[in-house]
Amino acid sequence: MSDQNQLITYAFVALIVGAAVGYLAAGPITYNQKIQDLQNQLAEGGETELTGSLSIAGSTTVLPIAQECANLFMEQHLKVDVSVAGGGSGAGVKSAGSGEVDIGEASRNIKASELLSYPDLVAFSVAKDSVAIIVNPENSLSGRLDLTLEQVSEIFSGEITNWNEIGGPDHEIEVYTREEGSGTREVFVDYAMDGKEFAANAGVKPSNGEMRAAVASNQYALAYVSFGYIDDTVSAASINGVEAVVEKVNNGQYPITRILWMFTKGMPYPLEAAFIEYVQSPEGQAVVEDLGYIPIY
Amino acid sequence: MRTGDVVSKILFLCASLSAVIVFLITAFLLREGIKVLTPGFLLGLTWSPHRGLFGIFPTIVGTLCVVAGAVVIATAIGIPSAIFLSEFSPFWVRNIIKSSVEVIVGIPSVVIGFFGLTVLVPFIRNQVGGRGESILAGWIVLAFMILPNLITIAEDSLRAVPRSYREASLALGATKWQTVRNVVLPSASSGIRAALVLGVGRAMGETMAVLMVVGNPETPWIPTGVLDRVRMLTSTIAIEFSYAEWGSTHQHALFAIGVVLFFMVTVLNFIATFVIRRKNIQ
Repeated sequence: MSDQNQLITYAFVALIVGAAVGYLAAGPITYNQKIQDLQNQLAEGGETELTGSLSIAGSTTVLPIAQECANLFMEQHLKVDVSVAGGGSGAGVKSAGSGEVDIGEASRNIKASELLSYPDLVAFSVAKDSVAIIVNPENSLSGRLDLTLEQVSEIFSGEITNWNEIGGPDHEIEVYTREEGSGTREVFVDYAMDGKEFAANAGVKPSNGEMRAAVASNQYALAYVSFGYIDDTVSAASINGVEAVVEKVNNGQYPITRILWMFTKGMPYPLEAAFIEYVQSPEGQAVVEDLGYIPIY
Repeated sequence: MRTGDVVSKILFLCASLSAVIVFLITAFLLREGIKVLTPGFLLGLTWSPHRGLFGIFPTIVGTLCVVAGAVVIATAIGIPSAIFLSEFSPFWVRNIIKSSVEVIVGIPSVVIGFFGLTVLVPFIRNQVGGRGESILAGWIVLAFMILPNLITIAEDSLRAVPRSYREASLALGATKWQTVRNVVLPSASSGIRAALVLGVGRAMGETMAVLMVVGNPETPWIPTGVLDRVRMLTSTIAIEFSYAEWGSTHQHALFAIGVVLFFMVTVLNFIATFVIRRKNIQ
């Protein structure tokens, strides 16, 4: 009997002490306080905290932008998880259209046939880009290689096959191209191939990164990549006397230009919208510029 | 008894699962690929999806060339290795070699491909000629990949030859080498052949490593030399699948390549099973 009484007393005391400690620790919470907090948040322009996860896939050209923006976005929104994958423009359209991923990316415009399959795709432009022809820095023409668009089509279609035909050493031009369906390939075909087919012996590489690696390791190689993939390991050729640099694309002198896209299935959900807005914001566009692409404004 | 029934049912379910999956994969591949699986597809000489040309004959030939060469190289190194390990090697040497062979099995194929691309390809370009990316590079990379299984299976079948055979031969006055050549090797030959067939199957299905070194020309042609670049059946699927438009002929053609590959590997596996079974009957 007395044991049970003691137990009840202890429990009661513990409850009071616990409540007191809890109250002191948490501070007095009232509805007024909460309303005040919300008002403050609104005044700062803050929104309710973003949570959830986003999956992004598609073009390897857009991949570095999405990846870097995702990292910064996750730093700002700790409860958001963004996963970014490659796969290619075709896969980007397909997987966004079928709802496999939240946001798809493409480095070319949507095709009519794709819009027929996925009529509810909504597209957002996130950057501009161009395609550069690259050679190995050790190639004797590196830094001064200047081709006309006609020469470009002749080289990639196999009509010009030796470097000495364009002022270089007597050696085969080892041409690389992207796989069928690549956005970069389609843009290159539209602007530079003049209706010709790629040479049968052109080596096929399945990403921008592998195109760059092929050129970086072989002084007789010639390939084309997105501007975002130009770095010290390769040297970009001029076309029609115009250097392959962002300024010349912007002022319309460099002959190749394209828009990079992100897609959602239907109107974007708040989290998707927040991410795409972030990529389009001045902060996101600074990333675009940093990575060697061209901001949309 | 009742527990036994339940257990056997569960075991049956597990066992039938893999059979069901194989069936589903086959059915799916056939359903997607059957439309383009015509003689023109198998014997066509030009693969150029955007022009609507889907001919995989050069790709089949390229695959067979790479696989055949790789198996020859792997055999030339693997069978003598297996004979050495099983018949001549001291115990501690065998342990060291066996464990290093097993390490090779654990190397992911993309790592081997990366090694091939950064070391082997430039080496061939500078020392042998051509672009480096070539059938030759494919041979070496693939041979390296199938070597460990080849050695392991061949050695196992050599060791499975009963001790009494060897003792009988030695007792008749045969030397060690005569015993190996005339008694052990013939007894183990079906096991060794099975090891080779399995190696061929493995080589044919390998994707990542060869993709990185065989060059994948835009429009593959029938190769005429070891420095030619080829496409493998597997690498064509791997490169183009993610970009192929959903539901297009291009995509169906890639599924059809899958059917062809599946068929070739399955036939090889049947041959291997047949060879092993014949050994058991004997």
